[in-house]
Amino acid sequence: MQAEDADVVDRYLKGEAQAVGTVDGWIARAAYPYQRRLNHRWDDVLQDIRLEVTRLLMQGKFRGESSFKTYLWRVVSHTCLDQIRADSRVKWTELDSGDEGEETAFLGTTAANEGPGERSEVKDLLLRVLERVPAECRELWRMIHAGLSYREMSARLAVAEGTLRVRVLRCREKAVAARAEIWPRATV
Amino acid sequence: MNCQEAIERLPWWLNGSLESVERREIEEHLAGCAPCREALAETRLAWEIYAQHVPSEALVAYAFDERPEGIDPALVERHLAECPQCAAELEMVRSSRLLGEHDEIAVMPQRGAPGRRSRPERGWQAATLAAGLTGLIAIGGWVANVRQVRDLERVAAARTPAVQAAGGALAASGRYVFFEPSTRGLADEVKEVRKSDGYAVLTFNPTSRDVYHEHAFKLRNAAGVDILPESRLGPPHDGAYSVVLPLAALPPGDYVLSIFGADPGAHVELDSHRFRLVP
Repeated sequence: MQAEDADVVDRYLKGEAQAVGTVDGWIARAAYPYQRRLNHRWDDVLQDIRLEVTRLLMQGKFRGESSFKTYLWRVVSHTCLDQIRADSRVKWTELDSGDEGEETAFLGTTAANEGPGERSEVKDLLLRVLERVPAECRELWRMIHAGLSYREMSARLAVAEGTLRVRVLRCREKAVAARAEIWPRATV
Repeated sequence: MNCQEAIERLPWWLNGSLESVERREIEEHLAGCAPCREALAETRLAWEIYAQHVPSEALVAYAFDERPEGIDPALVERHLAECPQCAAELEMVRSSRLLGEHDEIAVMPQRGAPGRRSRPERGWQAATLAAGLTGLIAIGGWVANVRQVRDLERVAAARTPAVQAAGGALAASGRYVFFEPSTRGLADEVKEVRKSDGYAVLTFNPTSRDVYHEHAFKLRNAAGVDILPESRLGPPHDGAYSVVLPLAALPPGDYVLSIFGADPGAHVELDSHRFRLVP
């Protein structure tokens, strides 16, 4: 680790105003491109980033493999992307009782209990499954994830509602078949 | 409701967009139909598959020209070519990286959320007012739309209706250059503009308004690097959007200003203008 970086980190963790101001300024600048997407709770996001940076530094996660500024930039981007994704994720509906939704799908494997390396491998497999299905299917499901109703989708795509529902059903079947082909050990 | 009707509607039951009557009918059907509950499990599986994106840590590594850990880089590239969400996120990370590597790029506070006007915005408006009226832009790296400069209309004398629509400050400055909306969109012509022209004004009258509820703009340089990341346009003024670009704030060079239809699940470039800014 460069001496200058070690000095900034040390002074930041001691709460010295100048170092805190420098790091805070870097955080605001690094986070700027994400601000419009997170504007509704921007102050909270900045606070989350500050906490994450402080947590990582206190745990000694910054080891000087890159400059501190680059490291900080990556932490900010990572945190902001996670926040944007959490905001845009539509959580699926659950049945009132006896619903086994949380236990289904890929969680039927042991992925949930595996370490980061194994999780990356699972993501790699999932992305390979995804690229097996037609682009039209990905586009249809993108709209579903965005929370559009079938009436809205039908109007936007200029197809009859019944036709649209059948197309989405076929896309569901293609995704399940692709998963079984690439990842036969996983169960629904 | 029979099994086929229920199964076809499961994706929209999951995303919560069904009307209450349909939703109740499906839930009643699911309660008594084991095959349809199996179909629900498969629908959730499909939901997860189609919701896959490049993990954020891999996306950040890729944007910083490093090999993403645990994921085939070629797979990441193929996914980025197909997925507008990940491509847009990658652009945000690259924009952020650019700001870290080029201290000379100035950034301005952005608008606060609707109904929650933030202090930086008031400061921004005050700065715009001063700069607009004197014709001197000492700040860099911002774009305004009609709504952002509308307050200035109270104090600026309009000279043409079009300029008035774009903001009274422009009329007061008396210096502006217009980009005519391209008739076929995505114009190839490169328009030459000078810093002394003051402001570049692009008006955009969406013919696709019935399809896209939201519109956005982006400014890139000739190398395709985002100078101003994609930003939503505010509500149209008399059916048209205006993007106002203070030319003094930009370094000389070639630029592409693009307008997008930007609804959830749909992102399409509708119009673009190339211009060469000379000193």
